[in-house]
Amino acid sequence: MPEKEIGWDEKGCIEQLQKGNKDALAPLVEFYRKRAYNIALGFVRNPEDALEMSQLAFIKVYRSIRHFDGQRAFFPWFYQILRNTCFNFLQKKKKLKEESLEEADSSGSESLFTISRTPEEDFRIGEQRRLLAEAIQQLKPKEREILLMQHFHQMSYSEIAESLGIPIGTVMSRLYQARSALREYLERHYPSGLKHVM
Amino acid sequence: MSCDPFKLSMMAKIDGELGRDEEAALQAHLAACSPCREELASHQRIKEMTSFLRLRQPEDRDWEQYWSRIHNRLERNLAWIFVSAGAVLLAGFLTFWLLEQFVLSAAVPWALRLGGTLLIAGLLLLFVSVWRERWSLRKTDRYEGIIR
Ligand SMILES: [Zn+2]
Repeated sequence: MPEKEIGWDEKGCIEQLQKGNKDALAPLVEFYRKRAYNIALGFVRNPEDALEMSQLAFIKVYRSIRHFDGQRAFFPWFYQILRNTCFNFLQKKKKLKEESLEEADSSGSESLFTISRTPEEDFRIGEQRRLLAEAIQQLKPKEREILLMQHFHQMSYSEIAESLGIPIGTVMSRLYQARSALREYLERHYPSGLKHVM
Repeated sequence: MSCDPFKLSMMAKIDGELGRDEEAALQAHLAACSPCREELASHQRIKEMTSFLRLRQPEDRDWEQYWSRIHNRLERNLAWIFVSAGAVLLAGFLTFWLLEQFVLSAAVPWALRLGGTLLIAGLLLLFVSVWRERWSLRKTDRYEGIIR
């Protein structure tokens, strides 16, 4: 399937989908699949489940597109579907784990990031990135979510506000909490000071 | 002056979402408040640092199969709709046939007629029960877990 970044018509696709044209789903998937995967990864924390959940969210889009108000932005609506899909999955997984009395599996603590550095970069840089990744992963879920939305999913404040159903003021204060928690974590683990880390 | 209102402006500043008036107010405060200047700088450094992190990505093969997996699942759903529609038709016909052959036929012994009636009633009950369960599952699946 060709990349359809340029000249792709989201509104037209959605209208076609609402008329029952299944083929109109393909360009929508093509355009949003990477973002969808990244968002799902933030919740389920492993690539296989993130692929699966993002695909399931697109299927849910197809099934419930009739309920979508074409006047609204698509992406925040999609974000909510994807988020609920991931939450349902995590809830079921948790229940299964409790039922099978399995030992806590490691998937919940799997790394969200690949840590790399170029040969020219100082070895300490790899260590700093690893620490930052760790800091992001230990954030409270709500703080981690909003940080990922802003830093990694390139969502604007208004997109975040609409996706989470919160006012923009809350978006900013939650971001402030998240970033302050990150800063604190880094300072605690790098007592020599932040300037040294970065 | 309290620093608190400027903490939020700092976030908007870092993310390029600050309006012109707020920008002026923030700059005026920063000029007079060195703790806020330092705080802004450290938030900015953290944001810059995170831009070097990469989220884990799946294999290229997974992207190649991405659409076909969605497409296949949608097709399979269509197949299931056909299968269930066919099953309902067959069940209806079978019920009719049983009614005609056994229940309403005076030539058939009463035990067989009673058996036929019970069988039809049982199948109907089962069908309604399964259908109701699926329907409520569908509903909860759509609305459960909307956590804000
Ligand atoms: Zn201040």
